[in-house]
Amino acid sequence: MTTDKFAEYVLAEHERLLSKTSTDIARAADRDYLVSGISQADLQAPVTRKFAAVILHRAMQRLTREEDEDWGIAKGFRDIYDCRVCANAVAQVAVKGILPPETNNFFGMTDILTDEKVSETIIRLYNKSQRITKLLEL
Amino acid sequence: MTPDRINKEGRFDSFDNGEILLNKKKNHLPPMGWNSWNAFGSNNTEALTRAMVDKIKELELDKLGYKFIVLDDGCYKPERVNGRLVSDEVKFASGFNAMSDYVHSHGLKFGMYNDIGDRLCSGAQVGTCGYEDVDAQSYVDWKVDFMKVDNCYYLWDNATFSNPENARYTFAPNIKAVKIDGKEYSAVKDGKVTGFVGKVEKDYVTFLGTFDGTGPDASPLEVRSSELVFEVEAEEDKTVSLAVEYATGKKEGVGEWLELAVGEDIFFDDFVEPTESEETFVWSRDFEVSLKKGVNIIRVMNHRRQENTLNSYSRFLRELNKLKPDHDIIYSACEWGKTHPQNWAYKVCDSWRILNDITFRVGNDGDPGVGNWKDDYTPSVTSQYNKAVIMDEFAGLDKGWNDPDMLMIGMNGLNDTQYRTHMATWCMMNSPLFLGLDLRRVKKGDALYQIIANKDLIDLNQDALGVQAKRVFSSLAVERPDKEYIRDINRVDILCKPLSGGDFALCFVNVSEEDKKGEFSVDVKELSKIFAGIKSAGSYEVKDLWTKEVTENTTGVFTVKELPACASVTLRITPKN
Repeated sequence: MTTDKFAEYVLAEHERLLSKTSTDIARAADRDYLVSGISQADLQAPVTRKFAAVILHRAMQRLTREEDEDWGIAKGFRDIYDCRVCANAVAQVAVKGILPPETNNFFGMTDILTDEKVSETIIRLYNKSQRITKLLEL
Repeated sequence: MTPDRINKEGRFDSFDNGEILLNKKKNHLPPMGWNSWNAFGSNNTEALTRAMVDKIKELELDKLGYKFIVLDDGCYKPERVNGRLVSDEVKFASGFNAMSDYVHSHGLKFGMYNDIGDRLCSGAQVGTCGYEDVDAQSYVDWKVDFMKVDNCYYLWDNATFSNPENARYTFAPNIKAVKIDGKEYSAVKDGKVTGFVGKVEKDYVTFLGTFDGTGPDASPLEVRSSELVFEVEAEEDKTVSLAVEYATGKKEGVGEWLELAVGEDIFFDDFVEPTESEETFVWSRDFEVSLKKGVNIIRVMNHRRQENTLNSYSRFLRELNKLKPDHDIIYSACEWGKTHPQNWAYKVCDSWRILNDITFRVGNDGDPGVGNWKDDYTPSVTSQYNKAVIMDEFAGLDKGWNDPDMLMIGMNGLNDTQYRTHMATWCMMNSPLFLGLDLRRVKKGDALYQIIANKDLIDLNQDALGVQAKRVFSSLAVERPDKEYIRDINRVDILCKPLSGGDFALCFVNVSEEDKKGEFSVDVKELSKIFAGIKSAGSYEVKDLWTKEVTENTTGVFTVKELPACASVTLRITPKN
């Protein structure tokens, strides 16, 4: 799935799972927010875990109004500071159990998020009961 | 693309010669202003920036020196249009000219952001690399007064988001031996590894390059690069052959780029043929080198991590100079201390970041973000302070300023005491003062205002003498409080800053998160041995720059009793006859 399609999917599932309806204008504004600053080349490329984290975090900021948490286990990811602009997004999706790290100490920023994982991830974004709470056991 | 050829003036061997390059204007005091990053991250907008301009005027912060309004990452359309930079269509719909005009019409100065790589840290594909001429024209057109230039996606190093294999540019291959005039010299037995990072592994030498200074692990004061050197005696001036037995790699510690020199004469500076593995050694071709009668120093090295970065920052400045030779744009290097810019950045820049970011939890509209007092890595007040506080030798009006990153005053995670110490120490250290909060949260006279608008402290930062404070005491220092890199925060420091007119400032800092009992003192007799401008006097007027209380001191011994956790006391002292 491309980064662009991933963002579309996040928006569509927001409407479907939370029974929301948006006007075209509001939907376009939401989409602009989710993909702001991401180049066309990256939007058309397969979605990496890093961009997935950025889009998911923006969805939490704009759509679900979910507050950030302390980084906790994410401070120990050895690649967390590889991304000064997305470090917090990565930490938030990890500690909230939406998009867990690949191993205890490695998030895997540039790895591709598979289609199978995309569905699970977006379910966890909107359904807190589905979130992974025992990250240390991964 | 490959890295540029490097002139002698941009070489490692020229770093400490004090020469400024490309007519970079100097004698600027630390810049002050507001930067969008800590406040709004990538989500800054035209409306938010205009609101910050309006608040700076309303709060009269400009009268205190906060002049620069800097748009950080996230303001550009993520692709070039016809090869040029353009503003993000949603966030800056009116364009950068309109933004610049708005800032200038309020008597303020306009700053922007870019990157020496081919993308910005946000991923926007608009880095200056290869576009220095085009971008310089854009920034001149936009009447930019300040440029912050980052280091992500850098092509010639394994910087953030760069290809990790770019380390091949910045480390020499592993070296097993050299052959000079037919005689073989073992790297391990006959060579000497200089500096900090190089080391012996089995029967070869590795890590011939420059230590990555992005993190807080190493002191900024020692040479952080290594060479493998051989002393070779010649009975007469002669030309001989020289070859190197090497094995290449593409990772931190072992690369493919080699610099070879006799003394300061570099005779090879390029890629070598790659080998099958990092431990499959081959001999290079023979080089002809000239030896002088006597002892010759043969140097096997790679200083490109520093040299390439200096060159990349120079390329942009060179293009600005062509378009506007008399420009006085303030140039802020943001390469996060990776290449130890304190060694070279004074040549072309006005300030240089010393570490990775002070926070990775930046704010958003309605969210102040989070800052920390301590952290094992760089995102905390004390991580930045611990390093900057011993870097005074690199700062000055004729050089520029160490930059421990933007202020976190107003962010969650820190209390008012910590904000005050953050402000006081940044002022004492002549750090650039960039506010990083949503100024709509500040009211004239409130707690945040009292901190960011403390004129007495700002006067220290902006004092005409332009001297960064020196740490003259640390409760954990063994011998040299001004030189020892101390990361344990369970301590009290005393900083001293000479000021114009014979005044000086003292800052007593409880770095720890625990209250400190007892007395902490410094004697002016000791200070006068360190600073030529500080003289003993019959009495001293002492002003506490937070409480504003003025007292008289007749002993020349200045004492603070009991410092609460993270608290500081800052005094301005005026000698009286």
